[in-house]
Amino acid sequence: MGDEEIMAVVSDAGPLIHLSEIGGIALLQLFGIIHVPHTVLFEISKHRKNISKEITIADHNLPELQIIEFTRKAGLEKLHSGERECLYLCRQINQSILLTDDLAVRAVAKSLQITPVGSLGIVIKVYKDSRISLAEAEQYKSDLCDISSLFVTRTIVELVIEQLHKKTGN
Amino acid sequence: MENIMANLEALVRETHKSETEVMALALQTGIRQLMRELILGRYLRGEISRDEAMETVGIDWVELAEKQRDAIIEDLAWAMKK
Repeated sequence: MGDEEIMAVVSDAGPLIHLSEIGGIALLQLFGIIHVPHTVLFEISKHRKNISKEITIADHNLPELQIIEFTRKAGLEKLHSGERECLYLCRQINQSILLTDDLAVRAVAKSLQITPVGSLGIVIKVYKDSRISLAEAEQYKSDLCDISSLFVTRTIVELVIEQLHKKTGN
Repeated sequence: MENIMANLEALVRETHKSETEVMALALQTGIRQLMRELILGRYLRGEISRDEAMETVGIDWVELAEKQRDAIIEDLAWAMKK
């Protein structure tokens, strides 16, 4: 078990899709509950029918008018509807972590005092909590780069693996 | 391999180019992408300057690589904290 139990997070489609593409959806068991706006869950379930079998997902139907108001106040017009709903959901249920692989969403999340975490970060955290070995973490990272639809510069993945080796002294 | 052949056939059909032309374009595109990865990698490892990287791959790719690097540094810090 890790140093810190993270009971719940909000997630947009990115990490759920990318991790499922590499057979790593169970890594999300790190979090007790994954809160997802219905718009996002609908989008994911078009491609991944059984995603909620391995993890606990809370599906949220969000009020359209409030999201429109939140979008206007926070200036989120450039984001997709699912991303806006994720940020709104973080606020509504008082969750401070948003799982996202979108760089624009990351920037907005930080401005709203929400901590964004991407698929690579999830793999590192699961490894750090001793739920997978270093070799497994390295494999997941390479697969995110080579197999999943996540777009990431290969050197970034290599640098992360180097950092993991340094921090763990392996 | 099966997938590559299916994609090749689709490209020939959809672009109305010959298989040879499509293969030549694929090689060009692949080499360009690999070179871009190489240059961005060298920049991120501090082996070449930002200006040198921009000159070769353009500012958009350099900025994207920087944003990805910053994101992963943040993720790493979050994941490793006690």
